[in-house]
Amino acid sequence: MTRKISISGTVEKWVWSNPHSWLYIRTTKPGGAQEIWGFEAGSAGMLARSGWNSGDMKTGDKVTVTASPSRNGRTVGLISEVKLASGKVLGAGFGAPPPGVAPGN
Amino acid sequence: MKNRKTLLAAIMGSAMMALPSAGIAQAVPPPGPAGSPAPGSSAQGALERPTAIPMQAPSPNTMQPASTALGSKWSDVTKLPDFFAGNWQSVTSFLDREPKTPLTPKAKAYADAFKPITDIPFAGAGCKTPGMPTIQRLGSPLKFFFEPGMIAIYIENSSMTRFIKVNGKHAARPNPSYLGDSIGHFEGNEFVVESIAFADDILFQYTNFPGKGTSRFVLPIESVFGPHGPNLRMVERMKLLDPDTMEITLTIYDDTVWTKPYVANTQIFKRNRGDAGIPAEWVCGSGADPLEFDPVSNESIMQDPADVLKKLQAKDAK
Repeated sequence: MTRKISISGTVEKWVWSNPHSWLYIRTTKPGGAQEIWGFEAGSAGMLARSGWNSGDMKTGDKVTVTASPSRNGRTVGLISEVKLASGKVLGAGFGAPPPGVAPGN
Repeated sequence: MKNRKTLLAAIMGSAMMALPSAGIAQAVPPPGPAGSPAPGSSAQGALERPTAIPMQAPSPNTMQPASTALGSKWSDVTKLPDFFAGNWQSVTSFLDREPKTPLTPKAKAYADAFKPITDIPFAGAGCKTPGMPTIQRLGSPLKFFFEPGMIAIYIENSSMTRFIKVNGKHAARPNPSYLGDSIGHFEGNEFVVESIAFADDILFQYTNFPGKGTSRFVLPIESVFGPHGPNLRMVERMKLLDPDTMEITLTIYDDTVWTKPYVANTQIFKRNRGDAGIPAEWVCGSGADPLEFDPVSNESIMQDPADVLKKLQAKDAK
């Protein structure tokens, strides 16, 4: 959980949902190949309490996600924050899963 | 949507233990707010009721208590500790750390053979609730409501609500449920709640794997979950430590699992006020989570996010 990555890309899908919300982005690797990343955020209610909104991101938006990556090598991570094209930063805050909750294996 | 396996086997029997009652039932409902007649007790109220729906006599299980103890009248709300403004968010772990209560031989044999799945154990298939006590601890808030003889607690996780009969008594023949059949009363500033009649597949923590602990973000969760006995009883004591901090202690009685009462880790909740204090709804089923339980390997498989995205986009295209 201590390692963090920063991935920039284009929003493919922002799913405001329970038990957790998911952000899918398309990113381009240094060699030019594209890949899809899935990032897990908190529940809809807790994200709202942290200042997020379901309308903060839409398909085609440019974002930079800071996250804790999955330990199994999949292109999956647990969101720490999302920087929007406007410069606004959405921090996990209350939206982070509670202690004891894992982001996936 | 996650397709997660329920961890617990079903062994619960139907017999319920005899429990002390905290009040006496009566057939006449108490007055409504500000001394107004009880709903449905006036001629006007009778006229307003749909005539096509026959009135039913109240079940003995739903009678209001005759008690005059604190929590029985509308005016009591001014005397109760303020559990009600805003909502309460857990800031402590949903798992108990280092539980040391001795297990019975049967439970120890179960724990020694327990094989965890690689998954978050509280999320059942279709986002099924883990039930009490875990459901109150998952981080999303609790919202308290009061009416004479009743305190309700809305639990944002699962969008479920506990209904606690204040100064009342347990149902004569309670059916098993995930939140249990609950009665409560006030002892000074403490709200004491006793719950019985739990579903056989609530998420029920026995202990942890020896020496492994329960560090954050580790899968599988290093706890042993197992079946509970037919006479499982939980006693909570809720109180305010300060205007914005609530404490809940929990003692669990189940002599099929432990050789003495199990004292759970104390849970601390912080009050949210304003917009944050308004509960949200909780509905699962988006299909956005790439973690999916595989019953063949008995572990959850992380799907390729690109595949999950294709499914979501295909659903949108329909």
